[in-house]
Amino acid sequence: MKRLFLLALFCLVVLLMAPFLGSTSIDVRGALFDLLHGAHSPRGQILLLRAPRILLGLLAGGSLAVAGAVFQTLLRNDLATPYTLGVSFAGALGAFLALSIPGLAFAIGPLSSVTLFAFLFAVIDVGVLYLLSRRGRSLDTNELLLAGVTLNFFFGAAILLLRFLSDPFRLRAMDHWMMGGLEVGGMSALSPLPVILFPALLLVALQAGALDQLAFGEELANSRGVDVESSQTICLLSASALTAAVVAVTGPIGFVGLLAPHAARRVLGPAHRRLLAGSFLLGGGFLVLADTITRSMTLAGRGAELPVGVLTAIVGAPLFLVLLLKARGR
Amino acid sequence: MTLRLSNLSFSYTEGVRVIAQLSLEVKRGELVMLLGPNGSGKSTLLRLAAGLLPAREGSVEWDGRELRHYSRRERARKIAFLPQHVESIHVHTVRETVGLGRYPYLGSWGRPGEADLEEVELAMQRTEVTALASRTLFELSGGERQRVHLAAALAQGGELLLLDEPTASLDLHHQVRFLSLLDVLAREGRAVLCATHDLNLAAAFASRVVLLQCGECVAEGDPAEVLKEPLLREVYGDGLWVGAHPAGDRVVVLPAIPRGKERP
Repeated sequence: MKRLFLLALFCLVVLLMAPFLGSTSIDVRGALFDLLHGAHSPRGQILLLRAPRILLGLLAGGSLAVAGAVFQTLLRNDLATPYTLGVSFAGALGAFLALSIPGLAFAIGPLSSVTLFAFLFAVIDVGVLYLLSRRGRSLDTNELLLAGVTLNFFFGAAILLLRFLSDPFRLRAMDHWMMGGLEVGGMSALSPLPVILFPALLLVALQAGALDQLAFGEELANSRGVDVESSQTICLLSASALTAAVVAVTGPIGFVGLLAPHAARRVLGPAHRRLLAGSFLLGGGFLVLADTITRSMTLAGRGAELPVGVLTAIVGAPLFLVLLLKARGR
Repeated sequence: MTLRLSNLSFSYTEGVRVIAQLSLEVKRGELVMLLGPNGSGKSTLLRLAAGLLPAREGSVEWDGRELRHYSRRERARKIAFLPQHVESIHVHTVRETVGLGRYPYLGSWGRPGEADLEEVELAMQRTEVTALASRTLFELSGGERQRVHLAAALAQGGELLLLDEPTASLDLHHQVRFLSLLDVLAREGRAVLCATHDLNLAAAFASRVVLLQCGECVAEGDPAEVLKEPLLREVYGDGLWVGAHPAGDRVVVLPAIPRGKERP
């Protein structure tokens, strides 16, 4: 419990610091004073602009980390990530279609066609996988993994084809989407996200005990009273929903879903009751921290910020290697 | 309380029976050992007895009630099953592993209560793994690891223990230690059904043996009655010798192949 509390503290500190840091630093006391007294000062406005982005970072990083932890146990593969089953490439194909076909540029409420198409294609990917790997009531996790990797290749090839056929002026928007980022147009753009994330997180949390058993194999889990078929289905669909919803809004942000569960497991142990909570805190905190760093960086000769997905991968990969080496030395 | 298998048949693929018209009883206090060559149906029989495979023909009962009428958790509280290979993809300590045996008693959040923690400590004491409690499974020898998995089965509170070749990868010392423990657990009032390839260990520890061939029970009873050379030759083929143990209270089965000469 003490370690989980420390992770919560890390996450809280990052969340409290993040709004005041960025390309423009803000005087903490002044900004809070303005906000509390309803004064429309620039520093107060900057704080309000940053809040949805930080909230998105927490939800996206946390959800990707939880999805990663679930997929690692469900697929019995340490290298599984939220994107192993092709959700990110499927989402990217949807987003690229919306970006490359002028007639598909529309919005429904706060949701752009890019977000909607990315989500739709990610859902199609999971639906196809689910139907392919179902055996009666049960899921064949080996076939799930193989089919997922195959769909990854398929969507990857389709993306290349679409890029080849697309107007070169649109390629930059596609590249930017593919790098993953937390730029969001206000709180209203975020509002649909919790509708998917919160129920999915709750469903996954209720499977924590079953996931502990599934780590030891389906047969032993079954003998201990786990309804293996429904647990696997709930975990697959919930973790996929988390991933699809996040990818649709942020694009594919790499490494959080691999690194955070592994780091949380080292700190908290393998019990999913603590691991899922720890992964959310660590993943959310890590992504907000990474985003704060990219917001604070000025790239020489470039007017734009570095997309956060690039930083998480550049920082995440060496960190993951350190974890691996430490695990070997144990 | 009795495990009763009646006229049980099972096929993985239609037309190929792995278990054929098999009937068997295991009572509390008994350590019954399932014998038979590879592919004779031992593991399938254990899975049917554990309720992991559906009994489509015939029935499986525990305590006078068919297994299909038990809820999953109810069944898990009565029957503990230890498969041939148990391996997690994550790193677990001994205490965490034994604690997982309490799953049928926990709520959805999986948080163990005081009573659960006590049962875990008790199970570790019974199997003499308390001193290893903080070590990870990777740090243990094969024998220690099997005792940890047995402790998890005990923490599950099962009245019936079903074990699939639990001593297959253990040295002689650990085989004897493990089976002595099973013997004690049976004497304390549990029903134990254990598959093994080791005829000598069965002769030494089993209160009864059941010999399977091609999914059928070809003999059942006291080890000295079942482990006879003509029957064993019929089931396992030539090349074995059955004699009396020097202690005089059981038989021993050895390979009957002359050393240094041309082997069959």
